Amino acid sequence: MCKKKWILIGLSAVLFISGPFGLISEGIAKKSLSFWNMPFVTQEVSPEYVIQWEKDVQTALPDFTVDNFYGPGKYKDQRDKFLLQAKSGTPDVIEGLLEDTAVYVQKGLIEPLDSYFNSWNEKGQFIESTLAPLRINGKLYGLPYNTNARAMVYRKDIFEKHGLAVPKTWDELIQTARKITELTSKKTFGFYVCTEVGGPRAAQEFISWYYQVSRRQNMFEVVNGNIKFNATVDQLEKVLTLYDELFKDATFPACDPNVRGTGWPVEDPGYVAGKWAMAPMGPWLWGRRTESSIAKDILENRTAITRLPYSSDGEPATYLEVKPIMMNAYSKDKAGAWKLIQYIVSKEKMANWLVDSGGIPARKDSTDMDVFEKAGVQWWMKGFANELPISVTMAPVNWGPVSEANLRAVNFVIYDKKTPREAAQWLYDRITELKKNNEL
Amino acid sequence: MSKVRRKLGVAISAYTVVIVSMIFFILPMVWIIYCSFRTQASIFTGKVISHLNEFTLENYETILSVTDYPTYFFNSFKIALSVSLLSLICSIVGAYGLSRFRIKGKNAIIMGIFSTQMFPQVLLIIPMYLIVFSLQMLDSVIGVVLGQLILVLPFSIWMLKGYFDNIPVAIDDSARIDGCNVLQRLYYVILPLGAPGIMVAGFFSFVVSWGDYLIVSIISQSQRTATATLVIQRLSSALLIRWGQVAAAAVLTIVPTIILFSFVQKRLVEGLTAGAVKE
Amino acid sequence: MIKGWAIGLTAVAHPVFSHFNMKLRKQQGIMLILPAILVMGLFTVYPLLEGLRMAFTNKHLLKEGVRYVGLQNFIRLLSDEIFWVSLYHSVLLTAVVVFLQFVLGLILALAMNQKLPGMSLFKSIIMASWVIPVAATVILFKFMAQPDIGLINIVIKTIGFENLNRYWLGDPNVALPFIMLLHLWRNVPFYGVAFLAAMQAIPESYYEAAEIDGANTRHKFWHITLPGIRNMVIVMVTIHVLWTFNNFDFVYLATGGGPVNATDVLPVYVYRQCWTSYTIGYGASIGTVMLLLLMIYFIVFIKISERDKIA
Repeated sequence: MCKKKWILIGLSAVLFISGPFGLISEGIAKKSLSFWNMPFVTQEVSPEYVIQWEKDVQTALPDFTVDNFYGPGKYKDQRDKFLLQAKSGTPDVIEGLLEDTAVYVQKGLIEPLDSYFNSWNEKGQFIESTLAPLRINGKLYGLPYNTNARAMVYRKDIFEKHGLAVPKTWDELIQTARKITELTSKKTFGFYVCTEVGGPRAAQEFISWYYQVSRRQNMFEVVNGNIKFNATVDQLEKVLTLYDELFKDATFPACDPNVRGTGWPVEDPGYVAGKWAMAPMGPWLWGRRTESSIAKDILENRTAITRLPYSSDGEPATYLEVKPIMMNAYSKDKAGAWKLIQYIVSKEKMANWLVDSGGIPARKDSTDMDVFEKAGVQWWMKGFANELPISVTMAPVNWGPVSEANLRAVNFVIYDKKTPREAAQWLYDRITELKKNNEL
Repeated sequence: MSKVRRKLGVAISAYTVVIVSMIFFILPMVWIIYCSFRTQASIFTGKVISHLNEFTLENYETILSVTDYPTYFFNSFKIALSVSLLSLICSIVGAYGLSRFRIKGKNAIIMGIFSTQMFPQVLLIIPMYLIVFSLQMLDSVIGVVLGQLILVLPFSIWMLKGYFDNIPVAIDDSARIDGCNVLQRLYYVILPLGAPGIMVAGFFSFVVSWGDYLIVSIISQSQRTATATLVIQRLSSALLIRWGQVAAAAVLTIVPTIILFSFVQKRLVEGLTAGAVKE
Repeated sequence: MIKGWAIGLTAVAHPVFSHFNMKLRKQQGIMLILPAILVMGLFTVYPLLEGLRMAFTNKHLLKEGVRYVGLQNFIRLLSDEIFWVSLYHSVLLTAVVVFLQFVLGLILALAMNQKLPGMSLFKSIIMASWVIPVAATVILFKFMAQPDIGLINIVIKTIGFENLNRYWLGDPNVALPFIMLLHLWRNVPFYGVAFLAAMQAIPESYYEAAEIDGANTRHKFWHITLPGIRNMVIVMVTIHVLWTFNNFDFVYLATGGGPVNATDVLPVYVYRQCWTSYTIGYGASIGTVMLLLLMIYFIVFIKISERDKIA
């Protein structure tokens, strides 16, 4: 008798538990595709554009619904999440940083696109130099939608007012920046550079300086699957000395010591609010015109673009950014995913996206569209496009721990915990250790 | 005379504590509510007082109509309610078992349940993810709910056990002699007498689930299961942080827990402390 | 030993059992706790064991081929600077936060225990900070710490310290105390309300008797109030040591461990090992150390409080 009773109880418990979930469980939708795409989340692209994009995707891909959840709000979170759960088949298509591509390829999570791409009649429109970094081990792992090189934006009004020359070398940069800090009695600091550990921008700025002292040689080289570490302690010391000088506790320092350890969330709004006169930058800053009337004025009337100052015992160089659209190797509908990719990197979609957010298209026909001229952003795009010939792309290794180590070394220096020499040695040892532990 | 003065002194010091606490604990909330009604430009003036024309409902309109916040809010609700319900079932029954029955290895069970609280959650999530994945529950409400259950179960069981221990066994016994079986006793004796504690356990589960970030961020993959907490996090990592909107989303996310809290706050203490107060 | 923990955990007297029908009752008891055990077993005990196992491997999220490496991870820990810094911060954070929460909570409870007008309203709103999501709390304080536009800096400027205007979470000297402040903001009211409940459970007659004996306020506090809320203090301190030491989201969402290593704590360091370096094996070994530390704390703390009780 007792046993029966307990079986009954067990059964009712199962029913009870499954009851609410039977109701909650979602109905099966029609063929759906998912796309994780940071710029749609962070509003790097305006919400208006996203709404338009969503409308157009319905006409372009009538057989599918595209989920309008575009993933977590940070590249790092997106990467972590994708690494862990790509095998579930979600998302079908993912946008990312070039650094992410290398990691995903290592883990075998993304699909080579060669066969799809080669049979696409529009393939000739893509600019070869933007495809090259996405070819890893001879296979194409993504299609580029956006490319840019770092340049320096500066406040031409301040330079004109005080009769200053635009700096070309590090020494000139440091001197001019300190001068501006002094002339404006700290209302506007001369320069800003990202120093946030873990921030993507800070890592990219660091590597720009590094490419200058290394004469555009990559920090790593991948030969037959083996990674070669090229940097020397001397080179690293030079870069770290630059950071040291920029934040050095002079009466009027080049960079505001109060913003040590911050990243782009301080850099970009600070520039358009007039808090710094120069900053390493990419084309996305244009999107901030809408932030306030001051921002609009500064960007449209008071800003000019120039080459990033370089080390006098190196040569001009900068970081090349190529942003890929990739396909999940575990996608449950690869044909559908490819259609979605084609839509994302189509001529009009790419052009309008980049007019909205700033950026150089990876397609010739997009670049030629008159939308850029109409929006009055040609001078702006050209300023950054000028830097493409001297730009270097990142080697396909797992940059996460390296970037973190780079910025830790920077922080040691700017917070006066170590001298540039000591920090350079520490950094060199750290990267060597990472390499030895096979963590790259 | 001196007694009156002493009383006055006590009152003054008590009110000082009250005022300081109000400033420290309540002012930040008032500030964020206030800012959620200001325009971006008004917030960026860096002034406390805004002109009347700088107040706006725009932040709320944007959050509610342009973003998908309502969907996420509803998801939060669905998930938090399910977590409360399931955790109550498991913990009422479990706590009753632990409180009233002699079970082999009872202490080991309690210890086992608690030891999971001593290990960093960030490490648990990787194997946990793999389990949810292999159960095909990724990106489903039930997956998130099961994941969050482990955050609330140890505390709920422990609290309810303390609460049930305070209900005299004699009442159980007399019910049994009257012919009630275990479930009947649970239903007719423990549920009514333990109601305040159960209410609090339910509330606790709701709040924890509502505020959870880590588990949702691992198991959720789409707007089917993403919750309001994730949205605040996303808004605040936007390229151009619109603080007014962030504030509005934060306020909307805070409101349900505060409303719920106002219902249970009288009972809350009683429930939370049942196990501990008893000598 | 296990019994000691359990007594400490429950801190209650066990009900008296009647010996009748014992065998049946045993079975029923197990059936009753089965659902909870199943859920906990699947979703935490298994991951916990898996985590412990990984601590002895070289598991790397991006690489294939996991193998056991013995104690290698733990040996590496010994010379890992950041591990020691994080450990120091974790211990410091936990000790300071729990101690301050205890003291401030006590003060709050004493104030709320006065029968004064307006006190019941105050009691009903003060715990609001405890129920709002951690993510919201962090946003709230990040917003207030913003340079120029945050409330903290506005106030500081108004009272004339213009040059202190900064992002408070970005200052290495202030970031850790600021994180402590977040913990206090969330939990002190909870302590206050919990202690108040315990105080109100102390029979009024104790105080009356003491007054007849001529005890003053201080005496009453030390000899009646404090011993009266002793159990509550033990419970609150025990769970909050666990929660604070293992707390991840406050630090992660507020600073991620920076600036430099100023706010690195162990859970965040574990997270970074797993998700920035992808060295899960090494991360798991740090987690194992945390588990060991908390267990040692637990045993020692419970032993001491048990001994005091008997004495």
